[in-house]
Amino acid sequence: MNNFIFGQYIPGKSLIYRLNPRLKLIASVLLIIASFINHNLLGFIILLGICGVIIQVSQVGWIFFIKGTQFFIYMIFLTSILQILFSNGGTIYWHYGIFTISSFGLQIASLAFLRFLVAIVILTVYLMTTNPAEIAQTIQGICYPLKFVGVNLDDIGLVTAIALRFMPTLTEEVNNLRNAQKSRGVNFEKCSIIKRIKSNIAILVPLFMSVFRRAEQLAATMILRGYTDGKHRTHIRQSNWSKFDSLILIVVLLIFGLILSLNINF
Amino acid sequence: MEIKLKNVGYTYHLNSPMAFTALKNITLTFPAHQLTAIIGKTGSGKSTLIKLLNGLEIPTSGEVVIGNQVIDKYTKSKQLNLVRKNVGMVFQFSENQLFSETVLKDVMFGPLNFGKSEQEAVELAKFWLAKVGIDKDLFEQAPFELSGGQMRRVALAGVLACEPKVLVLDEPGVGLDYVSNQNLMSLLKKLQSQFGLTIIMVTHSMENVAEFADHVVVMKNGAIVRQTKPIELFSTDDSKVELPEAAQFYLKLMKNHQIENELPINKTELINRLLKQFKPNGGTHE
Repeated sequence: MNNFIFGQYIPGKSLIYRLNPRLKLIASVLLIIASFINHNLLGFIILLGICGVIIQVSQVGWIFFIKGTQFFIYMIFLTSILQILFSNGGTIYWHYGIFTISSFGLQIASLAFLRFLVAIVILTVYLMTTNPAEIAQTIQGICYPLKFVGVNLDDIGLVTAIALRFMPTLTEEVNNLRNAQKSRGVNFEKCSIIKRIKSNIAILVPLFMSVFRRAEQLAATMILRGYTDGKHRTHIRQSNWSKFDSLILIVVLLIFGLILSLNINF
Repeated sequence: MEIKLKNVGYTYHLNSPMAFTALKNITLTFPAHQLTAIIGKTGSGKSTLIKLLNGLEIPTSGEVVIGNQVIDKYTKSKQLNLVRKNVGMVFQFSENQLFSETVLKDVMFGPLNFGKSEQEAVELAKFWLAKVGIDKDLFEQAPFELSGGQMRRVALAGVLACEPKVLVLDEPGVGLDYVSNQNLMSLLKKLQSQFGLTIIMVTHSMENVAEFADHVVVMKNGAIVRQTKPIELFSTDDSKVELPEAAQFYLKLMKNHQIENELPINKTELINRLLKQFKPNGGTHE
């Protein structure tokens, strides 16, 4: 859990950091969609290759990246194993009680594993290299059509910004509480699931207390500094779209088209 | 129980762009049955250092020797529970760790985790709650209904009830008013002599160091710069630490009055010195 980096912004200066945040989101979504419609081995080789390039270019470091995402990779791996054991169809290689290993199961499981792998790598890089304020702004931009059904976009933007801003703070808080309860003899790793849930209560109760306390304090300080809701707000950071951004968008669209064409049966 | 650090180094997020060396080649001994204070600016590595003392963090180089147990980077997490039984840790704002429905249950949490029976845990909890000065009437109350100072003492009892031989505290007095802080510190001093506890305490308060510590360790940029007795730390001119208020006051007095130039470092010493120097009839001055 100490190396849990999903969703954490890591300040840096590499190429990916300098891309337009909206472009990054569009590109990420396109690549994830591409990996979900793909059935083709060559397609996955291309997509994983792109993932590799992205990790390399982002300059966050491979060992760090793998350490941080290994929890998710382990989880999808486990799901795939279950899928292999419980799916039935095609050629059956092995059979015992309710467990079956079949060609159909292997196919489904490997597809699912590769798809989620691509999605997690891309999402992690996106969140690691994009400033929370920019993410909030992007989300606000995406929600723009909701304006016409009477949703207040500024509120959405603010709520997202606060939520993202407090992610690292709460992570730190969880770590502190874990350490405190570990010092009182809680063993979080090596015990039964029921015991593990019980030990997590020792973290969750104080965590909720502190979240409510923080929320109250934050609300109070916002009011004290003259915050009123329902007013339109401008952003301190204006994102601009460069030629390089357009180039990247074209490249991503080409990749998307390539994957699409690989999966269309003529 | 004595704790020794041998050439200990610690780097956060090893092999990553966020890699940060918090401790560099530290060799240090915390003597048994003594109260050692660790001082230093924010970011000097104090908090990291104390996390190494009960196995919450494992040194990335060198070894930590706790009693006769050695922790180095090859130590398995299974072996750490014994270390944690021997070394109790009280964190900053420790009142935030309380979670049970009643005060008594919260204090029983630790002993139960370390394998005590329900009956033993109740007895330990009652004993230590009494020691830290929590009234019997409060035992069945929810911990969140207590005052800040009381909550902190309950949290302290929660750690003491695990019967550690070493007690490590991260800024025990932070956020407390003067009287609560004095009470807490005298309580720790009493526990030290009564139960032979070894106490290690991170603090920003030079007054606490001058008044209560037997030893003091000064940290800077992840290294130990001095390791001495408080009286020596504050009385030598070359020390670049902030002086306790009593000493600062005496220094100002020295500028305008001809008085003994040996600095008193805490309030009691200051008062005694002043009483001696400024006798109403026939003192050295006025």
